[in-house]
Amino acid sequence: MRIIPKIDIKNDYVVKSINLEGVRKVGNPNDLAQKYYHDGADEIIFMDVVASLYGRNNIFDLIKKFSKDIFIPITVGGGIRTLQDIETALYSGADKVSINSAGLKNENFLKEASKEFGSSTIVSSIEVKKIENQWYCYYEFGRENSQIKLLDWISKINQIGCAEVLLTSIDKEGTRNGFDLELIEKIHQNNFNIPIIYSGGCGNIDDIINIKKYILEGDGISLSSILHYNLENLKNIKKCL
Amino acid sequence: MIKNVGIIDYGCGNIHSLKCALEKIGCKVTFINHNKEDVKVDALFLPGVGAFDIAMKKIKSKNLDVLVQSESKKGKLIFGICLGMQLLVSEGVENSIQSGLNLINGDTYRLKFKNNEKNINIGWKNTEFIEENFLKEFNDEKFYYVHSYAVKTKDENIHSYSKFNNQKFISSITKNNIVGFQFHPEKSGELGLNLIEFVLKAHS
Repeated sequence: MRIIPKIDIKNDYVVKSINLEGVRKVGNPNDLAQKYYHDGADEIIFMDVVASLYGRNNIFDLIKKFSKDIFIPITVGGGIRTLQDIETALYSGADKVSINSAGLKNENFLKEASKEFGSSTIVSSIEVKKIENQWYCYYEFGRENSQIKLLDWISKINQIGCAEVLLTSIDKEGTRNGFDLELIEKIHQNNFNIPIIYSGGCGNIDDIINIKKYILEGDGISLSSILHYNLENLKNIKKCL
Repeated sequence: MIKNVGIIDYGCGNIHSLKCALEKIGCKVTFINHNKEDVKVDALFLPGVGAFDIAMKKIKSKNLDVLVQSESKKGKLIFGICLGMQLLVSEGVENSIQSGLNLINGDTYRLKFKNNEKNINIGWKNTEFIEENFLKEFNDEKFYYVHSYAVKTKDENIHSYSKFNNQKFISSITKNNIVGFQFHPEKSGELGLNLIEFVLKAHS
């Protein structure tokens, strides 16, 4: 199981939201990134949480600094809209980019991106909310419902050829009361061949142990609150799994 | 240790993060994106992500295949990473059959994926270096992999093996001045940096 700290960034600060709302400052991105790297993170995801709303990409300057000292895979997301954005991200030292809003608005963008930069460079970020027994894909940091159903979208992503999916449960995000078990079970039943990184809700090691049986070789989990708020140490998490 | 190194830049992959890794261990890095007459580096890194046939076409369109082959003949270290390692062999089969750089005899194949398995080998995997190998001190360490294809080559060219869902595959190859790693040493933490340094020292 890949253990992947996710660092959400707003105006040079690490922030944390609850249900993708009301971001709160929790630290300095460089300090946290270095700490997670040295504590044995398998990869790190950096997400500019306001970029897709305001059309800014200032996260790239931060990535340039991180990539000089962090030698594990770095995924950068938030506001990636054009092939040029991807090139800039890779030029800044990212290894992969994660795309949500721009892909939901135009699936051809994901196709072109995978073809141009190699499918293993493209992570499809999906943020879902459950409404009347059905999960829908949201964009613009959980503000807009695309009306696209989750299972349809993952099947599409699989065909398009992105390398992996970062799946965030908006209902659980930031709550620290456990992963979205119902969602994870649903994904598991559908036998998708694309690796999934489950995100949202982890508050302690038991939460991870609870979903272990659904995690296949290649899958992973993304952790934020549990690490940012020092609820558990990454080294300890890795030891227990 | 070899310090003056070039990265073949054919418009594919995370070449800047490779540059950061090489600079961290004290290398001077030059990007090489066309076939210049005079290449003043002592080692060439061939990175790569994406599909074999697309990458090879890009390399050929810039005449970089000829450059790598001629620098290899001069005895310079050629260091392939991930798809870059696969490009070192004779032939690839991803999307379409496409000849490789043919520096090491061999070809590629798609890993076998069952219905309930992920169709890509991604993550940190134990790597088993064969005995009497100059990299044997890295035996049983974990490196970061991301690939769906692997190489086949003669036993004498094999450095190491790894496994995906219990399926054994060749994870690094070598022949004279040529080395290739299926995993990403530049993304495998301090251990990966040590491995690159080790190879650069061994070939100097």
